[in-house]
Amino acid sequence: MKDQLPYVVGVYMGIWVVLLGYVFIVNNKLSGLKKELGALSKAVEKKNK
Amino acid sequence: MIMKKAITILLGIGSVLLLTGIAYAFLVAPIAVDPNTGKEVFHQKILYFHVPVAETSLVSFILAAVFGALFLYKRERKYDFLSLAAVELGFMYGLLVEMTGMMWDKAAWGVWWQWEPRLTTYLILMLMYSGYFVMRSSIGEDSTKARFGAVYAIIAAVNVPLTFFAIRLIPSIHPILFDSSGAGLEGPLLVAFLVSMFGMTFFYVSLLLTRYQMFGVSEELDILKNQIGG
Repeated sequence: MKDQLPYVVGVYMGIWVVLLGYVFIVNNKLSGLKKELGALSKAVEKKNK
Repeated sequence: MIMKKAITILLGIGSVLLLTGIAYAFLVAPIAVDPNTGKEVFHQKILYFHVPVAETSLVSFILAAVFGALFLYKRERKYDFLSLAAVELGFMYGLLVEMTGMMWDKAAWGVWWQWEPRLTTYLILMLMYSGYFVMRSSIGEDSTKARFGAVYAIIAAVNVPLTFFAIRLIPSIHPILFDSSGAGLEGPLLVAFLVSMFGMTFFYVSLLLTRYQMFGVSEELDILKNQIGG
């Protein structure tokens, strides 16, 4: 069991790191895009007025 | 706003189920015993995450093909976004499958890689989908990119059933779950597996919707940028 433990721990740690990393990166990028979209929408409204 | 709530709920349910699955796998489910040697096989615990990740990646590639077909039929941009998001996620899950599979190989068979049917067909599948990204990035116009992407996703998905059935049709040392004789797992082992499976599915759907939302916002942004530029 001891010799197999590092592989089992590696699998669980690896999957969590990748999945949570992906969630963090995508959400971060999405909120950045939304902010940019909000700012640009206001700029377009001003231009149209 | 509704989409954001749905994503948060799905992500929450997925995370709770995955953590429950891990807790159940390690604290409740007993260590499996090799029927041939009678020895305990601790590396079998890898299965509770490796298989759900693998199934999710294959389902994702099938979904990419379905959305690709819908795009070709309806010509609505949202289906291209969904197809691309599904390929991206399928590929990311696929990399996890390769990584965890290699760890299983090393723990179970003492080597990092075996040229057996499942690993080989899965590697071919991953190489095919890496071509999808190369193809998309080499095309400039969005509509052509979407059309070619849809066709590629449909053609590449042919490899999915081949990968799934490879170990059922060709003799292999890769373990088989869910064949004609049953699930291959019983009692607490099956519960831990199913909880992880559902958790991974919820998690996946939340990621797919997040990525889809991101493409939509990017496109809106491009339209506005063009308006300002014009």
